[in-house]
Order: sequence, then structure tokens, then C-alpha cells
Amino acid sequence: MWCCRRWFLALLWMAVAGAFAPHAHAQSVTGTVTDSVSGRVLPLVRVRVKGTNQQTASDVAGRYAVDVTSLQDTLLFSLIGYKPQEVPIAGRSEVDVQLAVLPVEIGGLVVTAYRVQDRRTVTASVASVNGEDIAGIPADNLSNALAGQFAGATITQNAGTPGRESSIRVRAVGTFNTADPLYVIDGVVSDKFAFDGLAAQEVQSISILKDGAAASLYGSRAANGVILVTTKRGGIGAAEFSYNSSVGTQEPTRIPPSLNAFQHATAINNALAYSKIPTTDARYYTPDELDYFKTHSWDWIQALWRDPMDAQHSLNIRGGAEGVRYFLSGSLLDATGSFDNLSFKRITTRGNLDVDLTDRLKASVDFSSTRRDRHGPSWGINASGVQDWGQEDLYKALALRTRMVPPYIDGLPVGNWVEWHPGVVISNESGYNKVNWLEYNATARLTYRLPFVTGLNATLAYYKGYAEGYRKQFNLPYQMTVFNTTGTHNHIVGDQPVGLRPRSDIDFLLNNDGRDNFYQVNAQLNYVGAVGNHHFDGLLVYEQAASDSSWFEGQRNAFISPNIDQFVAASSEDSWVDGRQQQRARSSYVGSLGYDYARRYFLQTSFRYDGSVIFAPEHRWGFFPSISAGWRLTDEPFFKSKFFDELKLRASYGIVGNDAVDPFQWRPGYDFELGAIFDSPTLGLTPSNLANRAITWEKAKSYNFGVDSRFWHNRMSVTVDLFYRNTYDILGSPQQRVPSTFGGVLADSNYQEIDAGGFEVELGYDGTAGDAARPIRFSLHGTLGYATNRIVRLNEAQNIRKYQSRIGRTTAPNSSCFGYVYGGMLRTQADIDALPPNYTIIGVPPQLGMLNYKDLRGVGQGNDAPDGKITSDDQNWICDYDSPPLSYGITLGASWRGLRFSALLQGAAGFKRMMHANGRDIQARAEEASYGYWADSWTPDNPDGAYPGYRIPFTGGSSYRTSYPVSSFWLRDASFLRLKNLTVSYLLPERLTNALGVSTATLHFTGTNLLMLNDHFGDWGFDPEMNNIRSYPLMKTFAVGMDVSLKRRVQ
Amino acid sequence: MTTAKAVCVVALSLALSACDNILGLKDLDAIDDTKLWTDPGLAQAFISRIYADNLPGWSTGDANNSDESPGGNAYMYGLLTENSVAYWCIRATGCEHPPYDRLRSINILLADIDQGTLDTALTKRMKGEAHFFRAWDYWELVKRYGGVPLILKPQALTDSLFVRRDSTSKVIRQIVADLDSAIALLPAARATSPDNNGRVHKGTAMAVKGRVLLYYASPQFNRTGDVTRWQNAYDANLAARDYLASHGFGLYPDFAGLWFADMNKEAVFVRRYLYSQSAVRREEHGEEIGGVHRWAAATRPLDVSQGATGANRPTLEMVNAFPMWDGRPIAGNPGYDTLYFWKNRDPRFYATIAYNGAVWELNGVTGRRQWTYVGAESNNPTPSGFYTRKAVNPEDDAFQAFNGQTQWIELRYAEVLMNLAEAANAIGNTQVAYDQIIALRARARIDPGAGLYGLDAAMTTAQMQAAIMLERRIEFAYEAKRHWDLRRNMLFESLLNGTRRRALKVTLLVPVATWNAVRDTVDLDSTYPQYFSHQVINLDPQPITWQLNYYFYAIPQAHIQLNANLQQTMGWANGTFDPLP
Repeated sequence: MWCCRRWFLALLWMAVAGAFAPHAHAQSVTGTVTDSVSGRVLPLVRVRVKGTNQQTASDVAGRYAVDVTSLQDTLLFSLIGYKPQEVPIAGRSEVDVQLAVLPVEIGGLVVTAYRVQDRRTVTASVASVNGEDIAGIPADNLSNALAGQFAGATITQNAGTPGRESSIRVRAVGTFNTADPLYVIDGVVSDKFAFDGLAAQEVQSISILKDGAAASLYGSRAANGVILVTTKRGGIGAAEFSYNSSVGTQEPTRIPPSLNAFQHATAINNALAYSKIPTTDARYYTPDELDYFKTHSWDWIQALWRDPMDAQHSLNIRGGAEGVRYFLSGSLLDATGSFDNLSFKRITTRGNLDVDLTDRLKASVDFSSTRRDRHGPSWGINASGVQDWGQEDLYKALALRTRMVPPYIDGLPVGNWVEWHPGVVISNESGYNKVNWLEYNATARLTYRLPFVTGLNATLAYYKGYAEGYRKQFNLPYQMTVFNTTGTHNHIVGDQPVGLRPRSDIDFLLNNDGRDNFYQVNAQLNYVGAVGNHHFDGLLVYEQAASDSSWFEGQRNAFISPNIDQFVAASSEDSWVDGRQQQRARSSYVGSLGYDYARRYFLQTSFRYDGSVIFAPEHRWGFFPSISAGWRLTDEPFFKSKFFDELKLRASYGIVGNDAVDPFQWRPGYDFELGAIFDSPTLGLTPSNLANRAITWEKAKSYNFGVDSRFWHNRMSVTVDLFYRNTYDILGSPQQRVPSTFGGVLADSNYQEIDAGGFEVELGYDGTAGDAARPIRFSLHGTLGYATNRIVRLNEAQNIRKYQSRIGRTTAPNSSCFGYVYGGMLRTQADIDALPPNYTIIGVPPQLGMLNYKDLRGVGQGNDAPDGKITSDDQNWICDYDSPPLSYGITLGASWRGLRFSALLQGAAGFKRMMHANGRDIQARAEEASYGYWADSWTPDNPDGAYPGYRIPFTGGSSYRTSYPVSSFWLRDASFLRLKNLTVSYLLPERLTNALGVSTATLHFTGTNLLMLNDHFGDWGFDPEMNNIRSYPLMKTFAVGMDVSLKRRVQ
Repeated sequence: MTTAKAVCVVALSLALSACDNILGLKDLDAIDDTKLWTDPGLAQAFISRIYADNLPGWSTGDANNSDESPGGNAYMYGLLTENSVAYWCIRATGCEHPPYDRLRSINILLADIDQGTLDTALTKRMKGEAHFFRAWDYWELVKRYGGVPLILKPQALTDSLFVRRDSTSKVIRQIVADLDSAIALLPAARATSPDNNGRVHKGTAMAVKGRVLLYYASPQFNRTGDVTRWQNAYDANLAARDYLASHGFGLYPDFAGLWFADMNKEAVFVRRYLYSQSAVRREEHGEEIGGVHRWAAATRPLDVSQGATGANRPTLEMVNAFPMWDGRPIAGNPGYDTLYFWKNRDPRFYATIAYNGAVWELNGVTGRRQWTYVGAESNNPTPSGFYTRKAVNPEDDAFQAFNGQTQWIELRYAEVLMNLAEAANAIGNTQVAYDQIIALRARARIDPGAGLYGLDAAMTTAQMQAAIMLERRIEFAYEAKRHWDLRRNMLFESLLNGTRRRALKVTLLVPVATWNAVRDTVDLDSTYPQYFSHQVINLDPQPITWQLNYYFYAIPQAHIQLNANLQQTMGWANGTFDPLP
């Protein structure tokens, strides 16, 4: 059904598109523009008819069409970074052109802060990617498409939930506060959520500003790097339509197995026996029951899992005439979840319009909107889940669901042994939880080219954004059926219903509405000028932004009927409302001054002066300067190299800031909380954090040294960056520096310090082979980033023991790297007898099957010799990194005529992962099983088991689980190398496209996460890229799609 | 050109002049600190939060650490480490309201309230409440750890913060002084009057003072048997009893129902609960609330519960502790039959224990019986063969049990009587002790017999002390009192060490199908042995080994790391602090 609906939609699009099929025109010339070396099609190539005003530009497929008065005219092709070319038409109607890269000009334009720069003149560390490079990847989220594309950016997807974004980190983490980079979309400071709302097809380019010099124009919040997104705009030329669609399906890369029914029952028996419970106890599974479970085991995940599907469609219209240029775009993403009744939809629209009002005055008006809808089940047990819409929670619940009970018998949900039923929740019988997000953005921009001073522009831009999040949750009680039980100890569920088990969560309707109003004003002066070989540029910006956000929610309980999900149908007796409002503002002054001599020596300085409402008035303003310099050796007369086409040295230094802490910590005051209940509930007031008026920006000094090179006739390129960053005045709570008897919660203070450093390398090779007329073109691009850091100053307790200190260590290991050092398993009595007398392991006397640890030291300050028992003071730092310091990507590309192939290998190395508490846990109760590897745990009959046995005496009540503490036993190398993306596309031959009535048509297949080439997590059964074993699994995706473009000929 | 230029200039100047204004925002839902002590509404909200933070509530874990229920392994098998008893917790490990944070709020009130403009009566009441809760907080610390640093004003960061522990006796003196201040400042409240709505009052403070002085006279603190401490305890409890009685407090006639009649005459120190979706929702937004509790969810059989893993499963020892209807113990009692053990028992037995076949109309189901025989229950059945039914409202369904609204009575009038009895007995006034126990047994509707309600006549002080401990064990079963009674009387070694807690395993003797046909109608009072057999089994897989140093617990390392001046308690690693003086 799904598939059909998607394809129907696709056909509909095509029908619409078909209405614009081109009319033949006698005097028109078409063709494709490609790169003379790589063979890549070149979009945005300006095509002019010599001696006339007639001009156009090539489209995304490199196709152009231009009307000529005579087939004897000459065409002029130009593109920044390429050698302009004059081509006589010479009577042809089809003119294909290959443009050569200018020897000294590489890569064309780069979007940097507040402007577009020629790649050659950039002296800071900037990485960028074109929209075309990611548009073909069927990621449901922009951030997921970026993995492996940038050197120096660590992009990880911690769970594969549809619609779930990846986290992006630029270089090494340099703070204990949020390490999210700053997102700027078309010059407007934005956020990750808005970034993830973009469709790849509307993106022109994405740049990452990595060092202080590049980022300091965004000074205040740029310490974690800046991600700049530019959306597509129109160009002069005939209207060009392009339609892209893809349909994909997903399946988990790995789902960690859990114990089957027999193993689970055996595990419970082992636990009971271990605790010396007599075998007459009713909790034991008797031999007849064990026999039954050998052949009866129900896998709940398998029963309820559905491989998700998604379909994407986008339509772009792009064009312009003299004085007006436009880009219009709309896209639709429609995804199903991994269980029934889960869905995610996203619709985006964008219109970017540029109008030349006069010779000097240009106006731009941009509109965009995004709508995201999520639908999921309602959870009475946990009413939140706004973000993950229940899917991940459902997965978690099912992952360890007992396999001794079938989910359904005769279509009735089974309530034996279980408290609630994921199947019923999935079926929506327990209600639903829907969330819609809506965003509208509009930007108006005036650019005025000032007279008298050539090269001086003034720009005034006003941006207004509005975002709304709306949630509606309707929760209903439901019933499960309890069946008779058989077996000696009644552990087998029979097929006779004997009663109902209600899950009597209250029925309620909850509405939550949050809205955010935001504006930004920029007033900007740009100058570019030259005197002979002396080039100057300057920039002065005033920027002001403010937001006002609020949320409001209400609920009513006790509904008259489960069929009416409206407030009017419920009692007003227990209804309530709640809400909050908050306001934020910033204002900033930005400036820069650049100079270069003969495009050979570059010097650039900049500053940003930022005011934040987060700090007290006298500490509110921060000044963030930077300086950078570059030297292009290849332009030096003395540098005569046949080998190098480009060699540039860059160095930069800048200061950037971060204010990502709770606001208003400088004001003393009180916060509302709930108070006690007397006759009725009362409100309470509690002291806020103890104010710190001196709180101000945290700052980072950032140094960067880089080399850009291109050689061997532009076939190879190498870029290397080295960086060092010292972040100081890092905001953090000094709570650890006062005794617990103080009693107050301290506001953050500027105290801590981190050093970070590392390097990035980008390598490229483009080559051809085979028949010169129809060459096979291939390319190899690699990125590699290494980043590490060291804590210099930290808020630590005064009487901490030396081994506990984090000073001098990396920030990467948090508590998951602090634990016991594994010292063998106590497999036999001899192992126990060998231990010192009165030996205890974290308070427990040694027992068979337990993990033992290394006795490093005694309890309490100064007792540094081993004390003959394992206590919390025997813990140590057992790993340096729990996130990868080294990440790399390799892109392999090849093309031959219309056929293109590319593969991205993504890898990470140098870090370890601690098994999460959920996986260090062995269960001994019926409702929930343990993970599959526990089947090989220690028992008297299996003394060589790979995993420990059940440890804590089993006395009923609450102690039916054993969670092993963090120790090196559970630590594994988490390095991996995977085939992240694989794309094969085929550009249909012209004969066929002409017959179809379109300009170009491309079919493509893309797969992501197809293969894990190397990792160490196989027997644990989960993907090392995931946060923990219980996280929603990472997904393999397969998608097929097509891109069609056509151009309307102007009569 | 000029227009465009003008636009730029105007826009720039507008923007520049606006910038100072746009940064002048404030936190819209925070209260400025200058307003607090001049606005009665805000001041009352402040004290209301002190209540919410400091009022004791339902505890499902306490029963495990005694002979009431199985479990409590760390305490019972000698496995406690320096970090185990983390009542004195630390924010860094996720504790929302550590003791000294609560004390800081109290100290802020006491330091600042007089600088405000609130009316005298309100000021007086709030100061009384603050003194009361300061005493309560230090009491909860000192009974666990012995002496702790006394912080009596809100410290500034410039004060000398690296304080030392004060002696146990000094802390007790401060607690008593604070309670005396509270007694002087707090208003009186008559039982069952509208002003007795859950706030503490003069009588609450007097009763708590009685409890504190009783503990302080008990062997845990009073190793030398100092009689003046018993005399002080007697005086305080007598004063409390007389004061409360004169204000309408007394024993609520219905022992089983005293939990369900909100603010009845027996409720001296209470935390009230109220289910509201609003509170639940705010909790999800990260606020800690105490609007509901999970007592019933944990205590009920899990087949008729939700969101809980089980607690308060009675041991056979606890079941056997209840006397017969005539007040005499079961041992040697002609009316007692081990198979029909439920017949003719102290009425408090039926209000406290659910046994195999007991009528327990949970979920409001008329005639519902509780089956605890092997295989009767599917979801984590009771390992002991019994359930606790005290304070479990049978009318509640599983959801209501999970969102419990039953009031918690931390200190009921019955305890004042028992505290008085114990102190009186210790100073040789045995008759007063008799009177109090008899009052409880009369309320329980035990057969009076010749007027002694089954008590032995002419008991010695030691015999009477044992009788008092038994009466407390029965009367306050599962009310988080037994562990503390064993501890303050240092009874763990003599009563429990070397023993194992036991359960009653009930086995069904007939085929399930046969049984199912008759189970709802069968008269168990006459035919029980046809259907069931009993077997006594151990709940403890190993003997109980309570350790001597548990009478004063170790201070968790985290505090000592923050402050090298804090000494560890003697008996624990690096321990140098003597908790006795």
C-alpha cells in the first residue's frame, strides 16, 4: 500500500511536470558543460551570446539552452575559477563544452561569515560542501547527510530513529558546556532544529568555520565552530524545473538479541540456585516447563517490527530575466516508523527572489516555511516523549521483553507476567501523541551600491521568524487478558482466558502549544577596492536580535467516551493549565579589514563586540578580535615549479566566546516550585542559585596553521590544518569547591580551562583513464581529523584523592570511563581461597561467578597501599576517550558517460565504549529478559562462561537484578570503519530524454550504512556508533530515485 | 541615492539607540529577593516549600532493614560501606534536596524575616515552623551519623566554610533548643479543627521533642544508662501527651481506618498527599513534588498493581508476633492452631496482614480473596506467603495505588503514649507504662479479660521494656519504626544476628481445575487442610550479621572530599570522630 501511494504521488508530479514540456525552437542551442579534468557537470556556468544581451546559465545537470538569432553566433562560457571560453556555434544545435580549471584558481567561491570569498584569498580554516554533493543522499535529516564529508567535523548518529538528527561537533570539544556549533542560515543566527528542517535540495552550500579567524566574526558563540548554510537563489536564464524523488526502505544494522524463553527460564533458575533458595520454591522453572520453553519462545520485536519506509519529493524552479531572479522550491518527506501507527512528515517551501530596483539598489525577499508532523502512541506511564515520539521507548520495551509469553493469544493481548503491553500501545488503543512543528521565516534585504566610492556597498536586512510547536496527546486505559497457567509451577501460559488485567492509567487529553518569535536586523557596509596590486576589503556590521518564546499547556481528565478526543467531552474537575514565557536579546558590532598584495600576501583582521542579556550589565559585553595571514608561494616569481599549481600557507589567531549557560545567574532571587499540600496544593518558593554578578563570557584563544596545495596538473590536492585552542574562563559550577554543609547552589563562575589541539588533512585525486573520447573519470577524496584536549583547570573538591582528579586528562571520559580494573572472574573455589582473608568486593564477600577487580588502594585519604579488599577507592580512570579523537572519510568516485558511482567510507578510531548499565545487568524476573550474551554466563555447570553469574542473594522483593559496576571488563575498543553511503546514478542518454520530453533525467540508487567493514561489537550485537545497547538501532537504508529537469524555452 | 542612504543612516541610528533597551530584559518568572519578606503571599510560599522539602513521607524500604520483611541485604548481612548510608546526600549525585540545602532555606528565613514587614502573628508562626524543621533536619542526621556540623545561619562564601563536626550532645542540645523555640512560637491547634490542616503546631513540636529525648535516653546514645536522660524523656512525653489530650487529640477508634480519615484526632505530625495532574506534569518538567506516593503500588500484590516491584512482604516472624484476641501470645495458647493460624487473633492482625485465603477486596471487588499459594500469582508473587494490608485502601484501583493519596502520619498520638510508657518504665513508673499499652489494646478491641488485656501482671522493668517493644512492633508495623527501635535499643545482635527470617510456603493439594471450581465459595475456616499444606522456609539464604559500627553510620566520602575537616565516624575507615559524647 505504502509503495503504491508513493509511486502514485511520483507519477502525479511527473504529470504536472510534463505540462511544461519544452516546445521546439529552431534557433536554439543546447549542451552540457563539464569540467575538463573530472568530467563533473558544471552548474551555474554563465552562457552569453557574444555581442548580445542574450544569456543564460547551466542547470544542476550542467545543461544549458540559449536562444540565438543565428547558428553562426559565438557563445561565451564563464565560471569563476575556470578559464573563460569562446565557442563558435558553427551551425550546431548541440554544443558541449569542457571548461578548464584556471591553474591558480581552485574551488571557486566559499561562503564565509557575512560574505562570499574567493577560495584563493581565504586565510582561515574553512571547509565547505556543495548542495549537489549531498542532495542525492536519501537522509531524512540534513545532518545525517553530512557524515564523512568534512575534515574536522565529527558527525555521529547515535540512534537510527526516522527523523532523528546526527550530532555535529567541530574539532575537539573545548568546553564543559554545550559543544554545539553555531548555525547560521542565510546570514541569520539559527539553531540545529531549523538546520535539520532544511531539505538537501534547497541548499546551495554548507561551510564550516573551524578556527578563530574564520569564526570570530560570530565571536560570542563561535567557540564551537560555525556552520553556515546558503540556500539556492535564482540566476538569469530560462525557467528551469527540476524534480527529485526517491523511495527508500530501512532495516536495522543490528538488533542485539535477548535470551530466548529457555535461556531466560534457566537464568532465573540459576539465580535462585545461586542464592541458595530451595528448589521447592515456586519461582523455579521445573523440568517440564523448561522442556516446553525449549520449543516455545516468542520474539516480540520480530512480531511487531515493521521496516520503515520513506519517500521524498522535491520540486525546484529556478530562473530569472534581466532585473529579476527567482528560486522556488517545495519538498515533501513522508516516513513510516518501525512500528505500526508511527509516522513522520516534513513539508518545506522556499522562495528566494532578487530584484534589481535600480542600477545601484537591489532588493531580495526570501520566504521559507517548514512543517514537521509526528504521530506516535500515547504512553500513560510516561507522558513525555515530545522528541522521540515513543518509537525509541517502544523499541527499548520490546528489546528485552520476556519470550516466555506470547504477545497475543487468539488475538487477545496477553497480560500474564507483564504489567503493560507494547502491542496494545502500538495499536493506538492506548491513545495517541501527535506533534506538529511549524516555522515561517521571511527576510527582506536591500543592497545599495554607493556612488563616489567604487566598491562600497550598504546592506540592510530584516529577518523575522516564527516557530510553533503543537502537541496533542490523548491517553486511554486498556485491558489485557490473563490466561490460565500450566506446568508444575504454573509458568506456562495456557489458552483459556481467566480474567482481565486493566492498565488503568487515567484517560486524559493534553494540549501543549509553544511559540517562538524571533527577529534579527543587520546593517552592513562592505568595501572592496584596489590600487594597482594593493587590494583592500572592509566590513562593518551592526546586528541586533531578540526572541520571545512561550509555552502553554492544558489538560482535562476523565473522558465521557474514548471516541471524543475534545476538551468539551471531559470533566473540568481535574483540569489544569501551565505555561512559561522567556525573552532573550543580543546586540553586536562586527568589523573586518583585509589587505592583500597581488593576491600573494594576505592579511585579514576582524573583531566582534557582543552584548548578551545572559550577563550583568557591566560584564555583558565581550570583545573578540582575530588576525590571519596568508602567502601564496605559487605566485612568487622565485617559485618556479612545474609541479605545484597552487601552494598557499595560512596562519590565524582569534578569540571566540561562548555563553551557553543559564541566563540571569547574576541576579539574586527565588524560583517558583510546588509547595506542600495542606487542605489543597500550595505554591512554593525556593532560593535560586546563589548569584554571581561577575559571571561573563567564556573565551577561547584559537590558533590555526594551514597549507593549501594543488599539484600534478591540478589532479591532486592536499590541504593540511594544524590547530591549538586554549579555552579559559569556562563557565561551570564551583559547587565542588565548597563543603556540602554550605547548602546553597552556586551560580556558574568563570574558572575552568581546557587546551585542545589536533590536525586535519584533506586529500584529493582526480584522474581519467581509457578512451580519450569517452574517458573513465575517477576520483579519490579523503578527509581525516584528529582532535584531542586536556583539562587544565577544573572545579574539583579540595580533599579529592589524586587518582580521582580529571585535571590533565581529556574531557572525553566522563563517568563511563571511571571504574574498576578487571582482575579476573572467580570461577572456582580455588580462586576464592587465593584471596586475602576477609576479602570483600564492594562490600560483598567473594562468591563464585563474581567479577573480581584489582586492589589498587585503601579507603580514605592517604591510604594508598592495597588494603585487601575492593572498595570504591579501587576505581581508576580506565579509558582516555569515549568519543573518537580520530575520524576519517574516504570518497571513491568514478564516472563513465552517464554512469556515476560514488562510495563513502566512514571511520572512527582511538576510543572505547563502556557497556551501558542496561547491558551490565542480568535479570532474574519473568517480565524482562537479559541480553543474549548472558547465555554464556558463569554457573557451576559452566565455570568457563564468558560473563559473570548472578551475584546478589535472591531474597525476593526488589533484588531480582544484578547490575555490574563500571569496570574494564565491560570496556571495548569502539573503532569502526563502515560503508556509509553508496550511490550509483545513471544519466539517461539524450535520445531517451528527448523522447520523454525532458532536458535531463537521472536515475539513482543510494544505500547508507550498508556494510560494517571493521568493528569489535559483533558478539554484543549492537553498532559501535550507537550510544548504548538499548538505543534505537542504527538503520541501513536503501533508496531508489530519479531527478528530472526541464527547461522552458522562451519564444 | 539620497533616500537609500537615509534609510541606512536612520536604520543604523535606530538600531544603535535601541540596543541598550533590548538588553534590559529580566527573568519573567523569577522573584526579586527584595520582595520576599514584605509580601505575605511570597513569604508563605517560601515556608510552604520548606514544608514540602522537609516533611517525612511514606517509606517502602524501611521494613526490609528489620525483621518485618525480607531484603535489606546490605544492613542485614553486614555489607554496608562508607558510602552506603547516603541520607546525607549530595546534589552532584542527583539528590534534589540534600539536608544542608534544606537547612540553608530555613536559616535564610530565620535570618531575614525580621527585616521584613510581615505582621507579627505570621512572622511568629513562620519562625516557629522554621525552628521546628531545623530541629527535625538535624534530628534525622544525628540519629544516623551522630554529631554533624551545626550551621545556624545562611553562610556567605566569605565565611569560614570548612567546618568540623559538632559533638552529638551539642547537636541534641540545639535540636531541643529549636524545639523549645518552636513550642513557644507555634500556634496551638485543636485536633479535627480547620486550623489543623497539615501544618505543624505546638503539639507537634512537643511530641517530636518527646521522641528525640526518648531516643537520646536509649542505649544507642546512652551507653552508660544516664537516668536524667530518661527523666527528661518522661517529662517531655508527659507534657506532650497532656497538651495534645487537652487539645482534642487522642486515639482514633478505628485502627485500620486511621490512615483514611484525613487529619483525624490521632494525626499529630502528618504529610498530606493529593493527586493532581498539574503536579504530575510539573514533575515531568523536572520539579520534585510529593503530591502522590507509591506505597500502595509497592505493597499490593503486583498482579493488582502497576509501576512497582514489591515491598513490605511480611515475614512469618512478624505474623507470629501478633497475639491472640485475648492479648496473650500464640505460643502455648490453646486457641492457636498453626494451620488455622489466622483464627482468633488480635484485631490488628487482620488490619495488617493478608494471608492465603484472606478476604481482601482490592480494586473494590466484593468478596475478593487473596491467594498466596504456590502458583496462585503470576507476577512476582510474594516470597513470604503474606502481604501487608496496612494503609492500603482497598477501594483504589491500580492507577490510584500508583498515585497514592493516603496521608502519612509520621507521629501519631499512639506513639506519644508508647514513648511515655517507655520513659516511665525506665524511671521505675511501671504503672504509667501499663496504662498506655492498655489504652492501645483497648482501642484495638482486644479482649480486656481481667483488665490487663493479656499483659502479665507485675512485670519488672525489663519485662515491661520487652512488652513495650512488642507492642510497638505490632502497633507500628510497617510504619518505618521497627528498624529504628531495634537500632536505638541495640537489639539487632541479640534478637536477629545468627537467625534467618522465614516465610510460610503454602501448597495447593488438589488439582488446579478442581480448586478453581470451588475457590470462591469454599469455607476455609473449616476445610483448609483439605486444600492446603504449610511449610516453613527460610527467606534469608544466610544468617543475619548486623555489625556493631552500624549504630552510627559512616559519613559518605563525598562530603569528606569536599571538606578535609570533616572527620569520619569511629568504627569506619579512617574514623576518628567519637559519636558518643
